Amino acid sequence: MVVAIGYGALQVRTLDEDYRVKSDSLEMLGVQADSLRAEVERIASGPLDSLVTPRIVAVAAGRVSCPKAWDGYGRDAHGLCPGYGFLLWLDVPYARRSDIREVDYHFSGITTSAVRTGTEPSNGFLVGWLGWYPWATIPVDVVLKAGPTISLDFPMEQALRDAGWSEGP
Amino acid sequence: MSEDAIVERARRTSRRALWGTVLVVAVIAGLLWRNATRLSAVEGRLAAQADTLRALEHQKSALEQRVHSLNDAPDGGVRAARHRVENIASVQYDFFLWIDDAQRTAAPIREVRYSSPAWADSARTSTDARTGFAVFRRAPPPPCPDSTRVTVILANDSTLTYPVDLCQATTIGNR
Repeated sequence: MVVAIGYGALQVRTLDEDYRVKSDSLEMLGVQADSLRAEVERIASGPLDSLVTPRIVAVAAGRVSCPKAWDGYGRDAHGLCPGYGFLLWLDVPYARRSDIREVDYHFSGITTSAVRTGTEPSNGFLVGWLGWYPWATIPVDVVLKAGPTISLDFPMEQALRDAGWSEGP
Repeated sequence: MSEDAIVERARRTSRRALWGTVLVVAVIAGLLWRNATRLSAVEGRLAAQADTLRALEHQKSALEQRVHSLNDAPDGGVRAARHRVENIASVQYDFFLWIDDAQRTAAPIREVRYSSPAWADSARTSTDARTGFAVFRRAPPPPCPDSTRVTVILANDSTLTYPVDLCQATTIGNR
């Protein structure tokens, strides 16, 4: 009889412990669900300036002509340096691409300045070029279909260096 | 001692034993009853909790799916660009292929393979997440529409395959 009572009490204690553990899981799940709800809200209708990030990759692509200043940084006797395809686009949630009319990337050079415009939402408003070195920083204007243009500076060279880029001076 | 006294003493002893037994039985019954009610209550709470847990897990999964569908394009983030090669007699393009949103797949990407029927030699493969698994290939323009296939191999060994048309690749210029 005493054994039966002890066993019953033990079982109750085990189930109580199980209940406490599951309560913690429930609480954690609740927090995760709340956080996901907030994330859905943020992506679906939050301000776009917190959702857009310019991104760049540099892909080795043969050799391209480069200025004399690149002597000592891979420029050969024919005036060619290691070439890269620089591919620059805007990382934006798929559901919010349609909010953007175009993206203007402002490239400024010593002798020339140019604005390249990405207009194709399906490729992330991509622009690209074949070259030997990235710009240090470029201003990016994200022109919305409704609302004010979002302007930001993209530290292009640093983004590439963070991803392992090690060319140039 | 008289016989009556002996009988009275035996009665008292017997009554004490009876009350003692009743008390022990009552305590045991009380403990059993307490265990049974606690067990029943905990089991009830656990059952209700299991229902809530299932509902919350379902809700969480649906929300994760919603975040995924808001973030990710159905094309798997496969991107293509091309650059016309200058100063050569034949028409050649530098093709660039990569994955736009490599960070958002269910499992980390281990490798991406790009294969085009127009490329006579082997497919191109990249394992470098830092470049978005980008590859470069110089080749003549493919017959259009093109049917290049991109195979994304995830860390958990599952694969995802996406088509990409190099004829629709974004044209890029020079610096």
